[in-house]
Amino acid sequence: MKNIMNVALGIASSIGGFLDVGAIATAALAGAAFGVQMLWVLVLGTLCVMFLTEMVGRLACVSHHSLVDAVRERCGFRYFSFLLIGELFVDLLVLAAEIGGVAVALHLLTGIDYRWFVPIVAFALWLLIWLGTFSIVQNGVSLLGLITLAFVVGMWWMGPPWHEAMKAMVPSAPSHDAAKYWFIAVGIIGALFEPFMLNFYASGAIEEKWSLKDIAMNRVTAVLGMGFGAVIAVSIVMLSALTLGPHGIQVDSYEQAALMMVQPFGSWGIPLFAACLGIACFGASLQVALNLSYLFAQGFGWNWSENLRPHADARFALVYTLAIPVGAMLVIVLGDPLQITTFSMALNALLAPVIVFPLLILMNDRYYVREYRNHIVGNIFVAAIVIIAFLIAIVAIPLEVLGG
Amino acid sequence: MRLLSVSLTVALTVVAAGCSKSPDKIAQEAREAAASWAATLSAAAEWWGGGEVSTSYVQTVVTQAHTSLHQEEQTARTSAGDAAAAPVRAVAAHAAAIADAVKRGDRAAAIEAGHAAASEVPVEKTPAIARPE
Repeated sequence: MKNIMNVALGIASSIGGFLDVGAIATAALAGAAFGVQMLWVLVLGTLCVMFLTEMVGRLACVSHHSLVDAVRERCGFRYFSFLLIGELFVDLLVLAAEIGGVAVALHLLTGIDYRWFVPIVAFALWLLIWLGTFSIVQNGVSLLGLITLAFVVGMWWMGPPWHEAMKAMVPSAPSHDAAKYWFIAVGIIGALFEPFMLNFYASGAIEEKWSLKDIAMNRVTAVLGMGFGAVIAVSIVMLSALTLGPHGIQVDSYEQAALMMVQPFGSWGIPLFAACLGIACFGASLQVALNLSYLFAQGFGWNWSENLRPHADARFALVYTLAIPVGAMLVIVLGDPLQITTFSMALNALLAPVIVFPLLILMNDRYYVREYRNHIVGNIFVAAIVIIAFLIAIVAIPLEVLGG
Repeated sequence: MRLLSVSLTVALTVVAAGCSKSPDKIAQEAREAAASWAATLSAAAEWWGGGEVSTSYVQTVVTQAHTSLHQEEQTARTSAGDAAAAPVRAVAAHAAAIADAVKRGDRAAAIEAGHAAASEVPVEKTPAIARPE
């Protein structure tokens, strides 16, 4: 019974944790601009992230290493430094996007400029990590994230075009705006396998002392949790396609994206969208800030655990204490949270190979995973998707940035 | 080393040339942005009229529309001339009319200004159904 409860809690927190500012923004953009045509990107990315999540969980169960810890040990300090710089840059941008998402949600509810909320959100974030334990961060906030199931209800209410959605599972090229299409595709993939999420998942497994007996639970959590999470992201694409696109509304700001909930929910629509965005982003910003601490502490061999009091792992606490204000400042300095989001998600796709390829090496190394090594299908599938996303990102990012 | 620097220069020039925007492209982008904001304003005004969105939300949308349209207008005027900026300016004027109507609490005037904004620029509607190449 206890195991079933653990699995249910894991799945529920994965669903809540799956959606963040990137998933919401890129799905809304895709639906408004291209209807349901981009669903195939979401499905392919979800399959890939299921494999990746299961792998990092298995690595933790068998070797008791987190991803960063193992990469540092297996690939050496020079490679780790390269990974550290890349992930620090991207994670700070993602943290800015998540804090911006919470601030925008409060702005939608109150009408007050989102910048006023940024320091308040940053302080609340820091306080929760400072005082909280890992289970509060992982389960508490992620469970609140189940409110995002409202997108599924909204889609259902609008009567989705199932037949067309099924057809859209087959990859297709756009009939217009190719640069925008591929940029959004890269953003969707970047939002799905954010590097911070992989190491956070593995670190969580270590925090919760997973062992060989948890391998099956890890597999179920990875597949069902990510699968149900993807259903919510698919719902956002469909809802946006059904409500925004037919009106000619493109998503250039969160104010426009929020309109997708008005048709199905009436006067509850905007508050519900704001609640979904705010809670999902707050949960994700906790994970990103903690992951930065995990990254430094595991890489440099410091004490680390969210379950320790801050004085017991002072350097771990120092990293998130510095990272949160930097993320908050980035939101204020860079402005436009939606643009920060789409750009940081595309950068995630660029960074993915730097973390995924060492993971594939680790997952085929007997020293780390013994007889629990990867199947060749998993290796080829994940490597192919990551390489394709990386190549598209190299082409699409300059085209979108320079060409508007 | 020299070969590398020459190759990099050529590649950057090609990318820059390929990515630089023509006045036609800028004018088209300005039209698209104006059309999208016009559709947004029209929907927001109509839903505000029906009591489905709050006054603070519709004010937020109008403020955001005003900021975006102002930036779009400046870019269009500088790079593609006054004619390219005209549709953006027209939608911005209707946004101001909606803002006034919201301030007065005049729902009928807000809806009318919203419709006027939408009729100013032809809106390109995206069907929900996929239309691959």
